Amino acid sequence: MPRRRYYGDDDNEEEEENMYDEEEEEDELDRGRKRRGSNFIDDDVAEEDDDDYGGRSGDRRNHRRRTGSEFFDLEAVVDSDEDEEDEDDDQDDFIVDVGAEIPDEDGVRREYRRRLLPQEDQEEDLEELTRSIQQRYARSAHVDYDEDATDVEQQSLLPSVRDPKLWMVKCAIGHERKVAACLMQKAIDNGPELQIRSVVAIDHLQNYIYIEADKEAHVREACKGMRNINATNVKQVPIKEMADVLKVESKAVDLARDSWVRVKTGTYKGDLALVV
Amino acid sequence: MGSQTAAQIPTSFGHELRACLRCRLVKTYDQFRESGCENCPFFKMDEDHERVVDCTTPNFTGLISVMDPTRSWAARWLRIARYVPGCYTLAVSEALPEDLQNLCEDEHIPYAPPKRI
Ligand SMILES: [Zn+2]
Repeated sequence: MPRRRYYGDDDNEEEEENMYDEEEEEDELDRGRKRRGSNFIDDDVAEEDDDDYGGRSGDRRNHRRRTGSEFFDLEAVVDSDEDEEDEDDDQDDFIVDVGAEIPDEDGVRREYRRRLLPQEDQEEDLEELTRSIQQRYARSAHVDYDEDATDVEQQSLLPSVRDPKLWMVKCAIGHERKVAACLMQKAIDNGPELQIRSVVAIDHLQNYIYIEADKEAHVREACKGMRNINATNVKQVPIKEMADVLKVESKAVDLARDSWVRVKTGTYKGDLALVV
Repeated sequence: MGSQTAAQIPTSFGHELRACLRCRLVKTYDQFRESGCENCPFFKMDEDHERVVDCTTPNFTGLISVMDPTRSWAARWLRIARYVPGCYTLAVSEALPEDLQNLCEDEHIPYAPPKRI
């Protein structure tokens, strides 16, 4: 069995079997120095997670959430619905219930038209759209920050069928952030041939990372030869659930130990302090 | 990956990790101290070490490596598509101190505080 395998060794078919062997459990960023026991986790946990994941497409979401592409053509409709949103700016509130006004066949027709367009036009189209959204956002963020307006704009950023997909990929527990950073390093080293767009490690989701890419093949290619990640069973996140993946749980964050903070009130106001 | 030069990638993953309060780039304290923030050079964190403490936070949620900001849906959704490729956080839990917000305004740099503080 080969002693070392770095992400560059992408021609070896055995890697999936070897990936979680103790021999392979060294830290990508400290390559060759550190060893640790295999902490990759049993399938029971994984299966539970799978179920949870499948269960996320709850009824409420299914009928409320529309794809971004539908929204793009219907901004006026959404604007008129704005008043119905409550003050709570949870990301859920970006979803305005526009479903009722959209005849289903309209969406189908649009989708059909889109497929007839050559690929390049689609990309230009999307870039133009992105630009105009970003410009509008930059203005509102800079001059007067209007929360309702940005909520609506946020909704206009919901993914469409033309966006890259999110793929859920199994990852050794405790290595989620590191794997995301290692894939970043790999992208820097390999240049444009690594076709993934982003990698997401969610704090409250252990054992998985998400990779954003157009095709599953790009995900597999990027994961080849990487330690602590197993791309044999990649699952695509449904488009309507993609925004949920990036939703941040609001919680009180504990001060991180050994970090420098600025004292905001009291005798030592303005001083630097070390959290111990 | 696009043609842009990427930011430094975090060299460790302990408590020394911090996120820029404006652009949400994640690096270690030492990396910010030595080379500042690639997206926010006007903060001059590399010239004034206390600036690192004021402009960054150890309290953030989630990590996203953005390989191709201009073609990533996630980067667009998180409003970080205009920044250089690198490791970012999904959210920071505090706003930029007021004097530094004023600095952004003087420099005509857009700043959007976190939605929930
Ligand atoms: Zn920054």
